[in-house]
Amino acid sequence: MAFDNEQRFLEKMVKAQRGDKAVYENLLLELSMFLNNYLRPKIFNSDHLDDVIQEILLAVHKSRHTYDSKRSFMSWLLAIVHYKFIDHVRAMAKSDKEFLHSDSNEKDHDYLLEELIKIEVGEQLLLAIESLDEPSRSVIDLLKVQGMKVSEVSIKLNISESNVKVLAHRSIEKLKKIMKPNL
Amino acid sequence: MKNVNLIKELSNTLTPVKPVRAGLKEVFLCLGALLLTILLGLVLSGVREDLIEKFTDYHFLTEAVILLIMGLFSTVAALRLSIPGAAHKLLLLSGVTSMLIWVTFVGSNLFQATTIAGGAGLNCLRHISLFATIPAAILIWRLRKGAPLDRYKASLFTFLGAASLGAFATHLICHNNDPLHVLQWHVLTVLAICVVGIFLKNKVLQKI
Repeated sequence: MAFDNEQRFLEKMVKAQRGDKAVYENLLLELSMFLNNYLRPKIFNSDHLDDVIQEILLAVHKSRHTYDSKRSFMSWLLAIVHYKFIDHVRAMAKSDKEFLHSDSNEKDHDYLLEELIKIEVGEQLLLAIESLDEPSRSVIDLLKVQGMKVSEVSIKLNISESNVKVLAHRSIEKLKKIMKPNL
Repeated sequence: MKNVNLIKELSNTLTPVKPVRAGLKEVFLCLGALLLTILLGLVLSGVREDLIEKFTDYHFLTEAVILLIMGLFSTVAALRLSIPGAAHKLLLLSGVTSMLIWVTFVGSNLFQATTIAGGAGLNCLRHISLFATIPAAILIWRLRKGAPLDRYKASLFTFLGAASLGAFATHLICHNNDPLHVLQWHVLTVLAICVVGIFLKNKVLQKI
């Protein structure tokens, strides 16, 4: 199946490298469908699958200049897919470990009390976020509340990734100052 | 599908790009530039006076060849790692294997030696680091133009390649051929540079 697409993907990528937006959009849509079929047997959770596909599409976009039309498109693409899939598996393993670790020795009472405090602090934090100026508020909202990645926030707000990180860092420092009297 | 919005945004921000390659021509050009910087460094610092005589010494010549091969394999591996799917496992293995051959060679010299003197080697540490600086800078610049997926390996081979070339140049300068000195001040310096490279991977290479 992968090799049926080879020539078509290759031609579209070459046009995309020259700046053809329509062909590029079409290529990314086809890649998205191809990746969906390719990764579905490996990633069962559809949200996770979408996240991995987005990561791969972003990586394809960022590294499109490294594709050489003399070489196989599929081996180039699958190298990216393989790397991003391993990245995802590592992230999943890490989050599972943290989840199990944090739950292991909790007593119900302490747990409920902590949750109530979290809710209260969470509400205060939301008010503090509201008090931030734009685009800091959007950066914190997208990055920390909605859990988007730096690269996604960068594209969404049309600012560079380094600026997103700087804004996030400054905003967190501001939030710390605002929240300090409440903690 | 969630991806549709992302695809629209990516295609709207598309700009034409000049493909970056790591084919034979590009690799040879880069290797040529690296060897030229090493040669210039040797011309400026001056080689040992008995270099011509030393070329008849089996141990000296073998070590020089191993270091050169190690530098070339590691450099090519680093360059190929900058292109997704271009680095063959055999190439990566060659870099690591030549490193192991060097360590084994120096180790076996140490065991066979009748007298071991060691000796100070801060100059060798300085020479290897200085000789490795420009090749490392050239390689990092070249890698940043590409898209290294595995920053750990890319950084390791970049610094291993640069340090090997630095050790090769230092081998032609250093008067002390004592195996303990080579192990302490040449091998360990190259290994230390590799470790520094691994720690610097996130600083010098961007995540794709």
